[in-house]
Amino acid sequence: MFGWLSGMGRTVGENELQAYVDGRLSERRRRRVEAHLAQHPEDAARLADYGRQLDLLRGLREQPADFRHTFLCYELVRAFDRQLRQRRRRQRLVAAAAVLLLGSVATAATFLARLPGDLPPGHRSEEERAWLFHPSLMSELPSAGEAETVGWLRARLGHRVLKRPDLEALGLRYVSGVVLHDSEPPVVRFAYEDELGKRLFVYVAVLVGHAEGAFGVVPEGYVSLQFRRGPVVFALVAPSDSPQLTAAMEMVSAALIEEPVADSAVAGSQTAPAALADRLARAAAGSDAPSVAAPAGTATPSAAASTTDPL
Amino acid sequence: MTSDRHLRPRLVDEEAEGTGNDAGADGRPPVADATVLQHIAALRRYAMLLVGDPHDADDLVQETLARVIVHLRAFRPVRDLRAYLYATMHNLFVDGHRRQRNNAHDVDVDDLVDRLVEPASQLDRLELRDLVRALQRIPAEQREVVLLVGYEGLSYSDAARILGIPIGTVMSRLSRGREALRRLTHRGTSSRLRVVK
Repeated sequence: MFGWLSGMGRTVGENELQAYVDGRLSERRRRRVEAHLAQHPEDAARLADYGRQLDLLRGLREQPADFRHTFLCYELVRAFDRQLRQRRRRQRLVAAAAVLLLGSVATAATFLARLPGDLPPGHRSEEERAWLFHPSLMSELPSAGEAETVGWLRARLGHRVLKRPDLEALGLRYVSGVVLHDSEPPVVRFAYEDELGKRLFVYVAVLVGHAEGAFGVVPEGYVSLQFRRGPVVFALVAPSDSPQLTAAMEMVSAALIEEPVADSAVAGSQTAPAALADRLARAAAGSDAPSVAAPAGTATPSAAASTTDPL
Repeated sequence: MTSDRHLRPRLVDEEAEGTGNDAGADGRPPVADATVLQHIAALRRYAMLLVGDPHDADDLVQETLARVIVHLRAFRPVRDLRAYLYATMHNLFVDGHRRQRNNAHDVDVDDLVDRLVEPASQLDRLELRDLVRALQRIPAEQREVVLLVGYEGLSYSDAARILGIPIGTVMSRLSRGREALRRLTHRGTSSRLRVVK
């Protein structure tokens, strides 16, 4: 009843001073603190310093977002967000249809359980697998330079490392590396050029689960050579009179290095998405054919015939 | 290892959990319009300030996101996604900090500031560098409170909820943390009094 009287003679406490810095006091209490500060310059100076700390920290929040070093988690979350929205939409549609046509919530639940992607709990790992390597999530990667391109591949290769193939010994100078967004599966393309300006392209894709893919038709005057090592598929595209294709294939293949990482070390040191990617990559490696040249018509980066291809 | 399980009574709707229903107790979707995606940038900067190393920070962010996504994928409703993200990160940080307490290393403050601030930023880089360096020298529990309240702008009660401590403890850690930062940055005098409204 006389609450306002209780504050009259009270000294200002430390909590109140902190709340003043953070702007969390009512007008009445703020005026009381300001009266206190007017009589206590040492407190006023101290609070001004705290205020400056706050300015600096909050200024950081205004900085633009930077995802250069968080490709993997950014992709994962983005894919998750999309799937969550799709699932909600689907659930609403199914629920509405079920109510209208069947009038039974139980029927709707049964139907939901049969929808693709809504696997029973025992198949969670399969669902994660589809989720992580869903083509749409990779297709939204921003364009990347060489470092990011190799890093992008690294995140998908688990215990393998793909160094950018060095073809200098064949007189082929490295020109550029880029992630092609418009192909399924997405493809990394390295471009090389000889002294006459003729180009050789190396396409790299990571396949998981199934090894079938569209065969890219190369432009006239070019040949392509496809081969795979485990889940990693390579395609070399070069002018048909190129003499170094076989040698280039060996060099490209040698750029994929198997890291001798113990299972326990992998589990202990990697972050969850990386560990998941590693698990999936190794699972795919176990089920795939040995690293021999694949016959025409099997897994090949479809981007070789992409309309955005400079060939 | 600390699990995020103990956070559930405060941040997760237990009753709706596991039902497969994506609506929370208040009838809203658990994630509402706020998706995980929009929190990544802030989460990453917070992690950098917290651990002082960009690579460790990225690991922490990825681990946090992985855990939260696994939780959300099971369609367990979360009342406050932002708070849940920070609470999960807090648990992981505490676990990691406990393990690495004896492996403390010097922070490359310039590198950290370069990653936090755009080159053209109007922020005072020298002051920021001093503050970032000082942040790494104060106790982790004080650093967390200073960052959650100062950087994230969370209320004291939200910070208390995330950290699983009483509000009184938040206030005392905030006071001690700010004073420690002040002493470490040698700011003995001030030019002006700033009030946040």
